[in-house]
Amino acid sequence: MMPSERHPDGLELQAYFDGELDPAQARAVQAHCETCPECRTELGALSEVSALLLSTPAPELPRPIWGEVRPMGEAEFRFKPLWGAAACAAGIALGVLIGPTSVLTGGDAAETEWTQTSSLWSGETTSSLLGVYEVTGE
Amino acid sequence: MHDRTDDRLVTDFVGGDEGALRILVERWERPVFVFLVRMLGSPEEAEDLCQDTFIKLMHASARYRPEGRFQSWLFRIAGNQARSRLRRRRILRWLPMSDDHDTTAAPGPDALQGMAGEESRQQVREAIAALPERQRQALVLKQYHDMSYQEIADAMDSTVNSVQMLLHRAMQALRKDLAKREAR
Repeated sequence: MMPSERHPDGLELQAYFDGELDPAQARAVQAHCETCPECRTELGALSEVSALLLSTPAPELPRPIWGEVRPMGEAEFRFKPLWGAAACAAGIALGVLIGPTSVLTGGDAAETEWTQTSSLWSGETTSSLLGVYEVTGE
Repeated sequence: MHDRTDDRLVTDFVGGDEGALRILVERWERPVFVFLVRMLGSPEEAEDLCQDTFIKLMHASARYRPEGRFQSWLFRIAGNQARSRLRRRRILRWLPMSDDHDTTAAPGPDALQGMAGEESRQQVREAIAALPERQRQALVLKQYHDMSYQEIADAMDSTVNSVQMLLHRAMQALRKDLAKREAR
């Protein structure tokens, strides 16, 4: 069977439509489709769906994100306690007595100790009974 | 606007340049927001998760390796945020997770003729929302963000072959769904 007579399967047609085939494969699929109504119909259907998808307008961002995420010299924190109200109360008491410094981790969670000032660049992560905080720009 | 590459901006931010982070956020906030809206269907939730995505990026930036794959890395973070939120929705609503595939023949292109206007755009949004999450994610990244199969695979921690299959199934599912909606 000549290459142009071989029906590409659905995956290959999808890849051709998406421009993901190497040049030789793409030429072979194109040559086949030029003489195969069935495969042209499939490509036409992919094109129709794609056009419909692209007809939905992209939503507009209501407001810039920067003000909500920027690291701040003096940060305001939104407290999200991990271990309940009792731990929160103990943590606040400890925070007042000890006056820990705030750090931000490069790890997966934002873990900080509460303080009046903070620095994004002061390196180490410490887990803490004081709880877990998210830095906001509020 | 700015001539520094994304990789350079991350490196500079890790080195203490807060302005570099701002450039990254301003450059990518809209694409990330658009992606999250299309994944979640809710602009309000998307805005929340968009902030969370950049906060996570900020905290993970020290571990990023500048190899020219920033977009995939960023959309991996955003995709994980979206899927966590979708999982939480399912738990709250006690909905089953669905990865079912309809194997009946797909309708031809003429079945989709006549879809136009806001109603059809709403139907498209609903059809996208009805896709299984991974199909939806691959489709959104391909159709709306023009990412390559490899970039999508990197963003989804998957393989090119899997991405190809996800996209094929997503397109087939959308064809059938949209044809049914149009026929009503």
